[in-house]
Amino acid sequence: MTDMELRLRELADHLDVPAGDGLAAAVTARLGVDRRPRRWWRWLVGLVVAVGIGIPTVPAVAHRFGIGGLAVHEEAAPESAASLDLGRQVSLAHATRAAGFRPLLPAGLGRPDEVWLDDRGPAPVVWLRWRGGPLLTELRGGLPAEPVMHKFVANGQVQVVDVGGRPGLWVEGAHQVAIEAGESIVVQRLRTSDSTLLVEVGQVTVRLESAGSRDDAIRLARSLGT
Amino acid sequence: MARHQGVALRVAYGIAGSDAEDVVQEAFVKAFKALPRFLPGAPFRPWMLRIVANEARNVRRRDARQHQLRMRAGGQRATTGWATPEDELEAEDDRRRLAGAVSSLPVRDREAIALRWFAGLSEAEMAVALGCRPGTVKSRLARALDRLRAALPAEVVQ
Repeated sequence: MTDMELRLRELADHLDVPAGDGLAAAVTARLGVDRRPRRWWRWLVGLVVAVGIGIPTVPAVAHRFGIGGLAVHEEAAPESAASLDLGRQVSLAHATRAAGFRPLLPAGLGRPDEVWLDDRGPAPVVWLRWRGGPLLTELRGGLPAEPVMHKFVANGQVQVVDVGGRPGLWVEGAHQVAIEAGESIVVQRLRTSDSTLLVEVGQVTVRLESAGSRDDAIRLARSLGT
Repeated sequence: MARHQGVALRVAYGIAGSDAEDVVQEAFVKAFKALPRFLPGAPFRPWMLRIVANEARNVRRRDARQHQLRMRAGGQRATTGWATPEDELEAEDDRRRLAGAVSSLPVRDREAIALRWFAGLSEAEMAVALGCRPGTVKSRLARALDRLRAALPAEVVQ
């Protein structure tokens, strides 16, 4: 992506785009005037289901929560499996330029052994890897409008934790993780991940995998960018 | 609807500026009415954004005013801890100049820019949204970027 393209993406975050409060009510009211509101809502539900059963896709009506461009679904993952695919290996400086943000490094680990950049999806994702240590995933929060990464977890597998005053999500144990690339809601890559901590630090969403116990991961996350 | 509202507003704002909310309202009403013609299994988002973009273009054509893009007011942006206040001010100036240059572009260029970089569509999705071939998307984006560079004051072209 060229510098101009990155600047346009960044500009989108700062534009005075209306929030659209009341838009749903206005549309519903308009359709009500057409005297056929229920029918259109049924169409919509049918549509969401139709979109949701493409193979493999992210079900659109799942119980979902998340942090920054990262969504967590409390439900079974779509069927598909892939090995770890982090994009292409680059230098830290290159990743910083291409991703449009400076990746946050935890204190005490030094520079990562490997830096990978995945820019195949709707927003660039940076992976920082320490041999025999943690794997960090970083992406800029806010953009795009829809999540870039998805995690599929069992009920009760996620807990909200305090990461130095910031809310974080701790996913205990193995779970499936997917990254969107290309088509808007099709899951392109799905793999099994170890326990993970998710936290948003400033405008960067950080995912810490294989960072030890919950408390170890929180300690590491608290040192990010310091 | 909530799932697509944000991205629809970005596209509408990118093309029609302050009329974005009216545009999206009108487009969503049209989209619901057109749902029986939507092919199940086809990608929904570009289909819906095509209706939004058409509506935004129509509004622009009906109304000759300049649909200037504006920056969100107030609130110091949270930084990642490495940008100084001076960096932020400079970045803000850059963004303002860039927004001004985008505002001055013909509606077709703004449409391409809004879909690709404000809404984050892939080129394949754009082909659906614009009803054209992927190759045409590429050339439209390249033309839009060329005109954008030409519209920017020389010192900020990189």
